[in-house]
This record gives sequence, C-alpha cells and structure tokens, in this order.
Amino acid sequence: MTNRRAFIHDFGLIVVASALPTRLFAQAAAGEPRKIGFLMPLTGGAGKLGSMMLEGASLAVDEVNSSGGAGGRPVQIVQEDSQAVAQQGVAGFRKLVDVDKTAVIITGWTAVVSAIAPLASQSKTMLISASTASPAMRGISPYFQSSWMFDDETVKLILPYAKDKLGVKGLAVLTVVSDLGTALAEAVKKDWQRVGGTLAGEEVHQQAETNFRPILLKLLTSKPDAVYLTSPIGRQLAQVVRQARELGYKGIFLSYGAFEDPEVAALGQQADGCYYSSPSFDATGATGAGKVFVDAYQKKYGRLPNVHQANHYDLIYLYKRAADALAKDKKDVDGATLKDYLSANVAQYQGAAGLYRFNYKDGSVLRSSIVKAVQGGKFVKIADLG
Amino acid sequence: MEQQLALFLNLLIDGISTGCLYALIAIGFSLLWWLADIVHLAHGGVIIAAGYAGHVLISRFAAPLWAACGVALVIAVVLGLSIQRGAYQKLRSQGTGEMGMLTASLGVLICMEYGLAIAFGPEGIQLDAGSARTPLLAGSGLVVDAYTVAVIATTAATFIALIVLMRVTQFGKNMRAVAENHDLANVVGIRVNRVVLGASMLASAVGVPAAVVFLYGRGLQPSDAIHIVLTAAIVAIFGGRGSIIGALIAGLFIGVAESVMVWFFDAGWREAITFSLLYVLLLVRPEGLLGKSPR
Repeated sequence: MTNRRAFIHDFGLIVVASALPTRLFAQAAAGEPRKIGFLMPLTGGAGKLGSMMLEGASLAVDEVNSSGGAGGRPVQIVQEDSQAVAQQGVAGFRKLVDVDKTAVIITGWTAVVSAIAPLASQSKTMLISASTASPAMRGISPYFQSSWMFDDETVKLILPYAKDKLGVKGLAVLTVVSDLGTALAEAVKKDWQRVGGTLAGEEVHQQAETNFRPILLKLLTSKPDAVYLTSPIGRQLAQVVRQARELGYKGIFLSYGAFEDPEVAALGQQADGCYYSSPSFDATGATGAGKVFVDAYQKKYGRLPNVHQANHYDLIYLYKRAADALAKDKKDVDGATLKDYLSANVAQYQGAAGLYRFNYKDGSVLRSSIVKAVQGGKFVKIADLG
Repeated sequence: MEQQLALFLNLLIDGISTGCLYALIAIGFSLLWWLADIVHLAHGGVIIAAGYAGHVLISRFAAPLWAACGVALVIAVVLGLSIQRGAYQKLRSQGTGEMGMLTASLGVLICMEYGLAIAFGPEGIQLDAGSARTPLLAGSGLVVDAYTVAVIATTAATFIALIVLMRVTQFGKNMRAVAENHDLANVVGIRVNRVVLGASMLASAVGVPAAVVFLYGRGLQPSDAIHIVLTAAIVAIFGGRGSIIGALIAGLFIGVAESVMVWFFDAGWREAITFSLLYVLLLVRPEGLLGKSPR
C-alpha cells in the first residue's frame, strides 16, 4: 500500500513537473512569430523587382502584426536572396526549411521554383508565388500554388488585343533560353497562329545577354509590326527596347507583367509602344481593398504601388486567413494543413490586387486582366481584357 | 541596298565595335599576365568600379564626360595600385604559388563585386547615349553612328598610345625587360617591383575607356565583373601572351565572328563561337595568334 501511495505520489509529482514546463513553454511559444520564408531575387538583374515585392509583403506583415497577428501570433518574414538562380534558390530553401523552420515560403521565378518544388514536396513546405509565369510550372508540386497567371493564359488575352486593336499583323518572338522563355514562346506562337497572325521571325538569346544589337539587326529585317519579349528580367527587357529604338525600330513591343519594372519606366519615351497584360490592378483608380492597400502603401513608402507589391501584400493576407482558421480549429499551421485548408476553403480570394480564382489541382490561377502600356515612363491602363 | 547585304554589313560594323570593346577589356589583363605572371581576375572589378565612378559623376553631379573619365581614371589607378601592393606583392613575398595568386585575385574580384552591390545596389547602371546613337548615314540602311565611331577611335588611340609607350619610353623598355626575365632585369638595376606597380596602374588605366563604352552601350552591373574578365582572358589567350597587337586582332576577330555568325545561326548561341575559335586556335597555335613560342 505504501509502495502504491508512494508510486501515486511520485507519479503525480512527475506528471506535474513534466506538465509545468510544457505549459510554460507553450505560453512562451504563443508569442513566437510565425515565420514566412521570402525566397526571392534581392540582388542581380531581378533584384530591384524582388525588393519591390518585399515592400508589399512587409506592409502586410506590419498591418497583420498590429492587429493581432495570424492565428494569434505575430508574423515574421525571413528573407533569402535567390538571385533568380536555381542553385541559390536551393541553398536558400534549405536554410529556410532546415534552419529557420519555415512551413510556407513566398517564392518566384521559374528557374528557382522548378529547382525547389521537388524539395517542397518532400518536406511538405507550402510554396506560394506571385511571380512565376511559366506554364511549365503547372502541377509541378502539390505544394506549389501560384497567384500569378501562367503565361499560356495571358497570351490568350494580349495577342487577340494586339491583332484587333493595335493592328499587329507580323509578330516576331524573342525567346530567352530558359524554361519560362521556351514555354512562353511556344504558347505565343501557338496562339498567334490560332488568331490568324503571321509569325515574322524568331530569335533566341541567353539569360545573361546584354548586347542585343546583332540579334535585333537580324530579327528586325523581317520588319515585324510587334516583337514579343519573353525575358522575365526588367533590366534585360529595357536593354532590348533601348537597343531596338537605337537601331531605328519604331514598332510595338508586347510582353507580360515583367514589363512593369522600373528599368523599363526609366527608358522614358523610348518605351512608348510597349504593351503588356497584367492583373487588373490600377493604383490610380483602386477601390475597396485595393484602395486601402494603395493608401497604406503611399503612407509608408511615399509613392504609388505597382501590381507586384499588391500581389505580395495579398499573399500575406491569404496566409493570415488560413492561419486564423487553422488556429481557431486548434490545428498546427504547417505546409500540409495550409495546403489542405486553402484547397478546401479558398477557391476564390478577393485581395487588394483583384479577384483570384485558384485551381489547386495544377497550382494555377485565373485573374481578371487588363492591358497596360508604357507612356512617357509611366505604366498606364489601356483596356480591360476580361 | 539589298537587304541581306545591309544585314551583313551592319553585323560587321557591330562586330568591329564589339571587338574594340573586347580588345579594351583584354589589354590590361594581358599586360599583367605577360609582365608579372598574374592572372588578374580582379581586372573585371576595376573596370566595373571605374564605370560606377563615372556614372556617379555624370548622373548625380552632372559632370562633363571628360571630368567623369578623369575621376574614373584616378579610381581605377588607385584600385590597381592597391590590389598590386595589398594582395599580389604581399602574397608573392610570402611565396604564394600560381593557384594561390589566382584564388586571391578571384577573392578580390568577388569582394569588389559585393562592395559595389552594397554601395550602389545590384540593379546596374547605364547612361543614355542619346543622339550619339542616331545613324550617321540615314537612309543608307547602315547603322553607323557617332557612338560606334567613338568606340573605334578610342580603341585605336589607346592601342597606339600603348605601343608608343612600350617602344619609346624608358618605362616601356623596363616593362619589356621585366617581362623577358625578372632576375636579369633586377641584376641590371631595374627596380622590378616598381615596374610591376607601374604596369598595374597602367593596366587599370586602360580599362577606363572600356568602362565608358559599357556605360553608354550595354550598361554595367556588379555581377558583370566575372563575365568581363572571362572575356578578357579569352581574348588575351587568343591574341598571345605579351602581344598588344595580338590582343587587338583577337578582340576584333572574336567580336566580328560573334556578330557575323548571327547571319548564319541562331543569335542566342553565338558565344559558343568564341570558345570554338579558341579551341581551334590553341590546337594549331598554342601560343596564341602573336604570342611567342615557349622556349
């Protein structure tokens, strides 16, 4: 009996002793931030754009943290510079997952996503992206979800517009040698054929190319009405446009969201005649959630935001929505639960940058889009695309 | 003018302009390789730093081009001197071997690249050549412009000045003596270290025209440094060790070949021509176009 009492007494003490630090630990952990990885180019040719995207995400994090956090805890962005290069992307992913223990990573650029997607599947890390345009990324991992339309969808919008409204008959394609460039060029050629246009010419260039003059000299001999550019690097797009204008080309340039880059805007009037499709976010005419974002962004940074900043602002709020719901159901917020929650509950999402219609089966999204143009160094909305 | 002929001539003009740039970035690299047995990878960083210095002067202080070039020259020379004294000479005095020197030079290059990215941002710089890019022969179909003419003229002036310096001045003769035989040069009273220091300053100085050509042409960003020095190394090997004229011919040859091959093949693969040409040349002339055969 004594032994039994002693056992119960000792066992009770052990239970209390073991429970006490656990509860204390749990209380301490309640204040620990939920980490969101930010694996984006912060240096290199796409560094400026990546840094701009970080501004949008950071603004949302500030707002979320000042209003109770996500799932009852503050949010912290952990940055890693991918330089838009696969090797750096993999190293950054490893650090974010193995060292920083992030369960969700905001990432982008095709080279990086294609390299880390298998790792994300293995480690059940959720990848969300507002800057991956290659259709080759469809279904690359059940843990990858894009909030940026793949370009085989956007070309279906911009090419008919170019043909019908801009009067483009002969189109040339300048393809960057990459997963994105090749897939995009194929989509452009296929869709241009579908709408009955003429392919005037096609040339390729390397990802690190800076001298486009010989390429353009050859490409422009076919006298295209427009040239479709596939590079995702703003600096490179700006170089192509500048060098083509220097060679006397007065035609149109077509592209996608990568055109909305400060390097292109810095060309001033040389960039007039650059048209691109973009999600329907217009900072100057924003309403509702878009207006709230624009006002907050202007207050913090003193200038108008662009679509990329709005997209990354939305990604943080999308995460908050999932984290709040999971925490309410007393579930962990990790890659698997996040994926399950989003696919079961968030088929559509109304954010600052517009309406997102997610397809979780292949990681794609559909968004209402507009055509924008560069006019006098500014990005201006021209028309709705549907 | 018939369209294909015009295309060929335009590609030729572009190739000559590109070749001049290649020769300008290669000559400084070639000089130190010849004179001091140094694979001067940091030369790429010196060119980029000179370009940034010029850009700051022009874009932030609205300085005239000649003033910007002057400041860029001072920056480049100081950097060349510092690298030689602070890295190469110190390591050599410690008995560091060829691979050690190569690694040190690569380290300096990376430090310069990162330093510039921290100081000025990673996104790169460019200046608008404006009317200098307007074709001079409007209506002819040829795209010769003032920029291209200036590049060719600057290259010619730089190389003529170098040849004169080498052949006429005492410093040039000392350099040739040191390159020929360090020990013998030392015995006859030439202060070898001083000559090498002077050569380092000269190598950096001749990188300044290249930096300006980049600024008004394709732009510069810190991460370009390694690509620039890789091109410099190829041209220097192609031209032959110690040959100024060889570097010029090699630069022009590679530039023209890269550009004109676009006439035949997809332009995106044109850099492959550079390495193919180098391979073929090394098979038939291991010492390069105008290099001396190893004794």
